[in-house]
Amino acid sequence: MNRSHLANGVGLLLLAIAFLAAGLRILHRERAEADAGVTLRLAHWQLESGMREAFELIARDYEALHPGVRVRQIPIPERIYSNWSTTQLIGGTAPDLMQLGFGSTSESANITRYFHTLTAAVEEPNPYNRGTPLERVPWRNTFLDGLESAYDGRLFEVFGVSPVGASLRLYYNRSLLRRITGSDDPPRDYAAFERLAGLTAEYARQTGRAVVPLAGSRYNAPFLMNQLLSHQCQRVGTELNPLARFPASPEYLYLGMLDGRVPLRHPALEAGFGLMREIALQCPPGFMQLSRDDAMLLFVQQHALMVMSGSWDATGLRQQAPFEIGVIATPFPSADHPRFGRNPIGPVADSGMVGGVGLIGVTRASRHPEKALDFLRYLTSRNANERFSHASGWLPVIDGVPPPEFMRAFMPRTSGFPNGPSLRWGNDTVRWLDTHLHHLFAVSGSVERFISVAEDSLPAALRSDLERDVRNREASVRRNESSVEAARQLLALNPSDAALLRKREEMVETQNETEANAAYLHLRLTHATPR
Amino acid sequence: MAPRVPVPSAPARRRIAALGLAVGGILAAGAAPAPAPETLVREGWEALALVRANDARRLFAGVPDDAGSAARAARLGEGVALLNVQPRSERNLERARRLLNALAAGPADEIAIAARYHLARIDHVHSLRPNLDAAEASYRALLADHPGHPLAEQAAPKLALLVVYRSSEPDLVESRLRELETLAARLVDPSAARDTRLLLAQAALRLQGNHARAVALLRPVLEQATIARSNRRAEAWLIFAESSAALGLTGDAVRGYRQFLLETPRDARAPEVTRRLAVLGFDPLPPP
Repeated sequence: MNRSHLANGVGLLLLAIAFLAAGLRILHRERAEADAGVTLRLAHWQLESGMREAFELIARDYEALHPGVRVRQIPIPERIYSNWSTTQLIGGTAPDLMQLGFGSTSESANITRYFHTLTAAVEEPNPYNRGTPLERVPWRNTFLDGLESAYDGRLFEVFGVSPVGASLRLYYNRSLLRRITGSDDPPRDYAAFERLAGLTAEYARQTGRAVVPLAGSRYNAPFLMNQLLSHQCQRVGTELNPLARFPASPEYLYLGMLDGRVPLRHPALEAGFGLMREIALQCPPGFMQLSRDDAMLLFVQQHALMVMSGSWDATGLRQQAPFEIGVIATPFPSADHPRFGRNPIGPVADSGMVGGVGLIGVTRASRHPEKALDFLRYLTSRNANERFSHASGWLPVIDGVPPPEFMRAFMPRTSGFPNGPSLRWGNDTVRWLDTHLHHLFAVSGSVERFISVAEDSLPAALRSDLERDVRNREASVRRNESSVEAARQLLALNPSDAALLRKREEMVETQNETEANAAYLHLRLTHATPR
Repeated sequence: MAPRVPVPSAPARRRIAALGLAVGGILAAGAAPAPAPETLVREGWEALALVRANDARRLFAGVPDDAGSAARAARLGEGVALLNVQPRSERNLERARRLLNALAAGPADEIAIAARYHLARIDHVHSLRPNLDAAEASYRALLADHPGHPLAEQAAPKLALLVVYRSSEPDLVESRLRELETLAARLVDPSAARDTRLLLAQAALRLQGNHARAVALLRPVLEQATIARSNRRAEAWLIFAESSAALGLTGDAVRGYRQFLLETPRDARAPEVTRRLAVLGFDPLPPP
């Protein structure tokens, strides 16, 4: 036997062993599932501390209520979720429940092909709310946002619900703050933040410790910078809104920048860029090259006093940090700030929630779609949501559920004025920013230098994003028009279908609104000339 | 001597028998009755409702031309599905146009009205080279030929957005808004009237800053409570309140702000709306 035959034989043998092992594994799983009666599999990418534990807790609770049903979670790392979920969905081997949002689970055509709609189900009360004040309330209205964040505006359907909400806050090291300032008081506004940054730098000099005020990274720093820039654009954003005295959305800021109403040297933008530069100078050198994990490590190792992040990091930070953590809202400049007090209208109110975090849908591959839907109802019932929120350390989403003590600071601020538009909208503008912000952030950079560069090349990016936005809106109208006609025809066949009637009305309404907004943006764009 | 005929062995005979049975089975399945045209049409619309245009087109195409009224419905479905078949191509649009033109030329029934509406939509938004003048003319003709018809009146908001956002020249804007206000007042279908008025109110504010016109257009929509989506309802109440406040119509402003808070109490604008109510001397909710 020559060498190549031997190599082929060994290769085939290995392949056969691998095939056999995989087959046995699948057989074992199917047998175990068959023994358990019904097994519901739930795939998600929320690997943050607390989430898997919370899913386990609720799964065990559900199993206790439903003997014969087993719930198994399949945590998949975020970076491979897109490929993994696509393979499972196309292969027909998808689990019963899947988190939506990446790859195949984010595209309209795939969602309808692979997931059941929950639109009709969310109009019915959640049976697991029996005996609570939400007993008779339609499931959708038991959510804090009325499921607005779960509504798929492209398809006019709800495909998933989520057990958690999220918000952005500034975390700080309480003991380090005490050592630096001799006080427990965190900075409540930007002036206090500036003072604290100065004291931190002084502390680092005096003690020789490597401590910076902010653990910035390309992931974390933009959260804070974006909020501060938006705050500076509160007033000008409101002036750009012809419909109501509230800030317009970013596309109207971009139009204003293109048609000369808001030049790059507008005081609001200059001040916003100035704030961004000041924040950058409080971060470690080269922070835009650092990752989210680098920033968290800096904070946990006490090389940074503060870090901006979402509520999703709260449990992990609490577990890893060998110190007490405090949480505050963004320290915005107050009205009496000498440099940054004139452009904002006031303190920022937020809805507090980043909606639609981790929506979970029922796949068409599920052998037990009714059971899977039932588990979703349980997961988002008032009692289960309270247990989930406390176990995970994430914000609750159901009306009346109190957040865990530590999460109170993450709940929505209920006073103030909405934040303004910013420049973190549209692929081309964000890309332009990411490749040109060094003119602003570098020690040798400046606001003046950044604006000079921006005047040359930013308008093209703004225009490109606006044109794409108009095209996307028009494409959405075209795509959904057939569905509107289909709903009209199906309604003619079954005029008593109240859910379909409602859906059709919503579709018609949304279509007309989307199309009118696209037409208006198009008109404005034809009059806007890049400066 | 007679030629020897080869006889298959026993196992071979069994295989041949099995093959025969399988072929027979397939043929029998093939001979099963095809779904009724009405079923295909319904399934076609169901597929299209889920944005599965290719599946829908195949189902509609399965209905023969001699299937009576189902055939006309199927040709409409096929024409509409073709507008969404990917990739979008002039060839598919041309086929859709042919199908819809044939239906529009037939008896002036629901199908013909729908066909005319979609032909106008092809000129307006589907065509790779839109013909806005043709779309406008088609919308106007549809409205003139079928006054009060719910589907024909769906052309009204489309006409409104096409006409009003074609120019920002002040005189043109004024004359177009005036004409379209008259049209909106004549509409019978609640959803057509709602959307036409809503978009004209927004256009009046965007292009003219005309609060009085916006309030006049929004008032009947809000009073008839025809807005389906709660966030859109909230938005309309807020615009109504803001324009009323600008005109010094305190009662309307208060009503608008309160309705906004009722619709969307957790909106980020709610605290400021509550403050604006307080400035006017009112609480968020009316006294019991």
